[in-house]
Amino acid sequence: MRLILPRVLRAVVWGFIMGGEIFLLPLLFPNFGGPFGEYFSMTQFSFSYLALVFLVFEVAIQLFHGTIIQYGLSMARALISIISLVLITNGGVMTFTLTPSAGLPLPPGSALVFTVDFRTILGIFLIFSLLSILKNLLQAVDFLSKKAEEPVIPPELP
Amino acid sequence: MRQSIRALGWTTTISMLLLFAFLATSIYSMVQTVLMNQGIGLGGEPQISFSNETLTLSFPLYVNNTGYYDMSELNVTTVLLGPQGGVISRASTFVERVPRGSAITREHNMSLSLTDILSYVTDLTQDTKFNMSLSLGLRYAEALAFQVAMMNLSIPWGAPLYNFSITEVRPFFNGTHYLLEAFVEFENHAFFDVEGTVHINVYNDKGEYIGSGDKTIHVQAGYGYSDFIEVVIEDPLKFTGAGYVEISFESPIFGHFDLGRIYYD
Repeated sequence: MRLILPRVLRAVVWGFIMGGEIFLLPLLFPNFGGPFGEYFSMTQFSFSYLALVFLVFEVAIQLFHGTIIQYGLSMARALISIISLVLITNGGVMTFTLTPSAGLPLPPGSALVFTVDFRTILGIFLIFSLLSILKNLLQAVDFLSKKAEEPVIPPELP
Repeated sequence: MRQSIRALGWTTTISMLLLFAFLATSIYSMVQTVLMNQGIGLGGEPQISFSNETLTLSFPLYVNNTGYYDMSELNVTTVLLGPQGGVISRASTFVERVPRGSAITREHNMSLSLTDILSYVTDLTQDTKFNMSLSLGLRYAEALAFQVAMMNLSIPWGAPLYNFSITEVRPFFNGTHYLLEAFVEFENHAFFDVEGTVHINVYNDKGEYIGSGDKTIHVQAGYGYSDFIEVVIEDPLKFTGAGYVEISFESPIFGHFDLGRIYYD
């Protein structure tokens, strides 16, 4: 119990920091996003899934703290975040088409097409994610070598 | 080993924080500049000039960069499309760089050749609508590129010979000739004066040619026209009181334009 409880508590705290707050925002602020919310609903949906994946991974990492699984999960999380971000953001070029509505008074029949290109930022983020994978790999190697160096005392010897 | 892993971890974390700080400040600064401070504007009172059959619209483009980063490669493009598609005119204004804390003003000029416009207008007697698209693109802080495009904006086109009609055709004798008077009326909805010659050929209900007449007209933009066109007829017996009139219009701007047939009785 003394071993499990701190891990669970840590998992709860880090789980909240690493994605849990995303799910609290709509509860605390029902009109979060304002009139633009409806245009970005699909993106919000995708980002919610990404946040959920982060949350699950963080909780699992904290529960397996101090074992080799922690590093494996960290690497898997970094890899999944790379793939997810590239897919969700359409490779760093996102396009939103806005049509006239009550919140957006555009001339009838017209459309507003908004495109954001942040491939440079995404590229830098992916490089950092790869560095994170490398760091976790080195940590795993270090963890295993440390385990191998620990003196093994046969139980039959005093 | 452990020291290098720690160094790598700290480097990654600090770099990631710096990246997010840059992203947050650039988006915040961009939103503040464009939405809150209305830092980019295309509009106001356009200056309109008309010469050599070309209409030039000059829109003032104003950029006031109150943000934390430079704007670059700012490009404004307007495209005028015909009622059934097809590009009539395309104009672009490019600004290489707007450093932070500075403002610039440029003229976005759109030239519209009347000949090009008229090649897309099949009917000079009915108002129609052109489509316009407007796009604005820029790079912000060298790392983010934005593009906003407004599609399918309707631009009304006023017909120069709107509702052209012949309301009455009546014969009379002036002492030497038998004549017909064709009463013509229309409204000039165009933004320019209409100047040219209306030519009519009058036929009876059997399709026999009766006579023809011309009239030189000048109608100011926004005004109506109503007058008689006199037609000399050689054989008054051919006039049966019903038939049709073939109308054409010729002017230096339009060239020769057939307006079709109008039936009378």
